[in-house]
Amino acid sequence: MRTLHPFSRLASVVGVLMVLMFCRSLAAAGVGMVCGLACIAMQNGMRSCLKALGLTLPLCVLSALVNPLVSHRGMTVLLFVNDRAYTLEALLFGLELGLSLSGAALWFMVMRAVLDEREMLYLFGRLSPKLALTVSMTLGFIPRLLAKHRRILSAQHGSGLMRDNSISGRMESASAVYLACTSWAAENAAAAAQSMNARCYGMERLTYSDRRKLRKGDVVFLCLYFILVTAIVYFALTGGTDGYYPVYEMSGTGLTVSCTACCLMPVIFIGKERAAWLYCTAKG
Amino acid sequence: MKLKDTALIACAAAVLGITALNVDIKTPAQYYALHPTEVTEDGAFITLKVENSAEDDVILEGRYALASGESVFDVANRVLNYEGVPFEYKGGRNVYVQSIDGIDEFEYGAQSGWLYTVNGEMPEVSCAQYEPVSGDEIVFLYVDEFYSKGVQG
Repeated sequence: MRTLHPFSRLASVVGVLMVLMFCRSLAAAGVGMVCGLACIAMQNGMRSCLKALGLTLPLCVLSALVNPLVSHRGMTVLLFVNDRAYTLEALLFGLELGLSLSGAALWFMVMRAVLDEREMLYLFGRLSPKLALTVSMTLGFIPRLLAKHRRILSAQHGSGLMRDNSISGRMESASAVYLACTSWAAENAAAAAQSMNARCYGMERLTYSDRRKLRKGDVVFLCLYFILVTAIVYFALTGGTDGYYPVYEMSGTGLTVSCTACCLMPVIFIGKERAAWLYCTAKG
Repeated sequence: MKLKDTALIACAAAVLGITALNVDIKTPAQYYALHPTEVTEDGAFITLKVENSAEDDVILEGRYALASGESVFDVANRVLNYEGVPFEYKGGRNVYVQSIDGIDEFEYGAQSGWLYTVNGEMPEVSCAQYEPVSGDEIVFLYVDEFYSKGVQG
């Protein structure tokens, strides 16, 4: 996605997030999650993709299994748990919730991969310097915290400070590292706030000098995206989404096709750039 | 292994064990065998009628078995599930019936919805708190004008 303007990149991810959050459709949520995984695999590598899958798949299974215990609506009774109906419809609804929730988490990961802090600051800085600062600091915070966590952990390992390799010992050392991490984050935030205050940050509008412009490709991309999102909203409003109760009904093909196209566009762009990077090498 | 670890594992096992003991899973066939809806000769029974007064349509009518301690809601839920009539409700102790057989509240205007009567009278408690006795006539009635048909006087 590097060839596109940051605004187009943001729009593409926000479009997919809207689809995942507002369309109650099993097919759309499944496609969104698979496409998100594909983007992560191409951007961050297979290892990161498998790690994300390992986190999101149990969430989907858990929400699918737990929802029928709470909601007893639906006509297809699979079991009776404590004399309450455990229905197929509630199971599917839970699965859809899990898929869209983990899909949204995956697409936030994709957003971090395709848009860095500087570009976020560039996009929102003109509108509101404070918002831009908050967004970019939030986006940068988690990776920095994870890196610090790794450093503290390896430092503790290296100096032989780890407790014995039992369950309670491991829990104790994990909590010690966590405590060190959070206190570091708090101190760091206070220091950053003081230093920014001293430099009058966020008081005045920032000035920007940037040579990026919306090019023809960006305009075409944005127009396509706008048409797709409009089509999705139209299909969703005219009853194209899944009906869960009392009997499950699949959503219409119109919604599924437009959702698939919307989720596939970032995948195609990232895939094209990845292929260009891998196979178009300099000859000589 | 340290004492702390043993205690941790024992606690986790106890929690899992207690949960497993309290969960009772039955297949629909087993459930309906234990909670029969057909009336036996000496068993308790109720008469259940589900009626849509807006269309003068009787959705369900019949005599069904009543287990001891069952509320109007329990027996209606069991019978409607068994008969394959879609039934939607909200709440736990205070159950509110939203829809039966796809006929939703407010479908026939702002005053339309489901209410229930036992032997022709409207109890003042939720159907999940009213325990019927054998021989009671329970009617789930869909009305389009609550104040004229539902509440008399």
